[in-house]
Amino acid sequence: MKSGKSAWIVAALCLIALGWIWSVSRAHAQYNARISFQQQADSVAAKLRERLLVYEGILHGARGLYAASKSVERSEWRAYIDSLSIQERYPGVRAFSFIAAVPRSELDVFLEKTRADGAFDFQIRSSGNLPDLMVVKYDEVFVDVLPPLGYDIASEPVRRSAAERARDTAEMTAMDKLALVTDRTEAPGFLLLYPVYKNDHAVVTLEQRRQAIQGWVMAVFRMEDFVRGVLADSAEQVDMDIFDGQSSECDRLLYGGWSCARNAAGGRLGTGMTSSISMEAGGRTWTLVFRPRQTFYAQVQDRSSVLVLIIGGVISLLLVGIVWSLGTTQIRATTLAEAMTHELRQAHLQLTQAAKLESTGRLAAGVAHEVKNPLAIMLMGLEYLAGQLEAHPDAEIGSVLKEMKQAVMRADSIVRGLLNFASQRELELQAEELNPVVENSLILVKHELDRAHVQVVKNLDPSLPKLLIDRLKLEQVFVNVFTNAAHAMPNGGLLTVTTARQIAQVTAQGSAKSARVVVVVDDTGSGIPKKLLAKIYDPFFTTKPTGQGTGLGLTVTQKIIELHSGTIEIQNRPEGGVRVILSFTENISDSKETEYGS
Amino acid sequence: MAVESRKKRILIIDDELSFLRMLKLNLERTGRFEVYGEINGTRALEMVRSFRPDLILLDVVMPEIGGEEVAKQLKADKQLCLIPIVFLTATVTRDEVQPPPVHLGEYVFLAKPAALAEVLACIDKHLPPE
Repeated sequence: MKSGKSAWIVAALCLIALGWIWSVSRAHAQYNARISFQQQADSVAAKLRERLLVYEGILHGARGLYAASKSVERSEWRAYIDSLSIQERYPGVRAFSFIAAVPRSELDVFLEKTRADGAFDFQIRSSGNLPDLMVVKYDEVFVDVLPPLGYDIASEPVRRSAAERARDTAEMTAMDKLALVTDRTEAPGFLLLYPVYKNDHAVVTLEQRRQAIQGWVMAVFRMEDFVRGVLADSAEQVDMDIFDGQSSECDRLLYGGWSCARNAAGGRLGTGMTSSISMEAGGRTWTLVFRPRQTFYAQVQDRSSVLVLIIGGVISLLLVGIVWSLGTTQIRATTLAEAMTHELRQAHLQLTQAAKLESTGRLAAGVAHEVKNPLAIMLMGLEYLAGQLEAHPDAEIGSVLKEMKQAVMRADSIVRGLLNFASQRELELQAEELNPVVENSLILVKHELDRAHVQVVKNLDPSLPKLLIDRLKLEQVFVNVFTNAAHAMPNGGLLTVTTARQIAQVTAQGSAKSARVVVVVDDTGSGIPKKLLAKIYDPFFTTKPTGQGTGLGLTVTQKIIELHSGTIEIQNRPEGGVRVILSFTENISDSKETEYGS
Repeated sequence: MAVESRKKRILIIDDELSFLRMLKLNLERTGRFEVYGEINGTRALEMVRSFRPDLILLDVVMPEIGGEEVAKQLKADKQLCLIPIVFLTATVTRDEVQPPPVHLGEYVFLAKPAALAEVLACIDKHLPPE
């Protein structure tokens, strides 16, 4: 259990560590993804700025055209535009115009000159009565968009305001969001104005610029076309919205629309990474809002966190396995050590017991000889007296003599038991079946069992292997055990004899299994008091009434079993009575003839 | 002499004087035996030569000279070697000589303490025929 607990603790620690490493790895991956995304967004914004500068270059060029000439004729304007190859090189440019600043007082002169320049049907399209007109003088329209030739953009406050801002600042000026109304899609667009001042006029102050204004070059862009080229490589990676102004209000949307769609859906389209970048476009602020596309996520997906999970998981499993293995090894080692300690203790006890028995045996042999001679004298004396009594019969004396003779014979029985224990004989080992030995022993004690009304139940395994045994000695063992059982059940009972083959699962040697044959003898007697259990093998120890036991039976039994390399175990059964377990090693080749006795 | 000649001579050699006396009394009471006892093994051979027993009851463990040595000396004497010898000894147990008496090697053994009936049966069995 200890090993299992340690393994669970290690598993829990590994899970915690794995979770922490995974979260750090994931945060790192998210950080890298955000950096990559921001780089993508910055890159797109930079390209957009570059493109805007390039497109502004067209306007600078047109302004240069005016700076280089005293006047720019219609044919020159067209030649310049043609040379730009606008449709091929500047996609998104829908119109390119020159807007002339025309004081109302000079309107007629302007009309006359313009018509003389080849625009015979040139008409001013103006509303209102402002002092200055801003008339589209040259107009190269690539796609049908406003404003048309002759249109006075000053008629519209928005365009007029943009034109005036460009004039006053001398800067490139973008006009407010423009719906290209003539475009069927009403796609958003924007308009750039760049002021053109009269040559040889100072334009340092505001007043000088207003005085020197000659007109404006103007380009109209369709936003989608303008951006397409910029996004070319990044279109698969990011979505981009462009808003006119510093906020991302959808009515100011110039390009895209994913953020508006998300807002309309109440944020249900995802709230992942976004990036907002502001850029200056012709004096206005554009707000670029980016979000990564699925392809971006697929590209930047950091598999390191998954790898960390897999590798960490494998390492964790290994760690848990190692701890579990170490734990179970320790348990096995402990079990083995305990088993070996137990065996060592048993061996020590057996050695002690053997030494005790050896000395007892030697003593017994000596005592037996010295006791038997007096017994012989007494017996002969009693026999003589009994013979003498035949001449003068006396029942009482005869009874006394008889009891004395019985006492002598009992003493002789004890002495014989001692000598039997102490006698030196070799075991006569032969490969024999155990069951017939048990059966024969039961026959030998049948008289004792019948007298005590003891019933016998036999559960003898017919498949037992042969064992190397001394048949007569083992009969003596079984007779002792069965006789003890009979004496333990003076008023009747049940004697159950079981033989079986057992496979020992754990041996002191560690792994090898060993097979044993066991004989289990159960009786239903009163059992042995616990405090006396340790003494039952001691010589002369008996719980039987005087005259019924010599106290040597179990001592001799134990010795015979030991000489067979077997074991005897006597225990009280929980249900009452005694259980005797005799166990013999099955391996015949390991058995050896052993000196019996001292 | 005629009566004595009908009685069989039994020589008991045993260092236990009391046992020797008790056995002698018992055997003599039967009226069938003339019994002589000797407690000293060293005098056993001399006694056999003089007494000429029909059967010898011989103890094994005795001081100075054991029963086994006595038996060897008797067997070595051509005139005495045919006298049957029964070892009556405490060195064997009743279990070892059951059913009594038994031959252990070339000798007969009876275990002490032996009942008179056993001793008589053994003597009768091993006495040489008339």
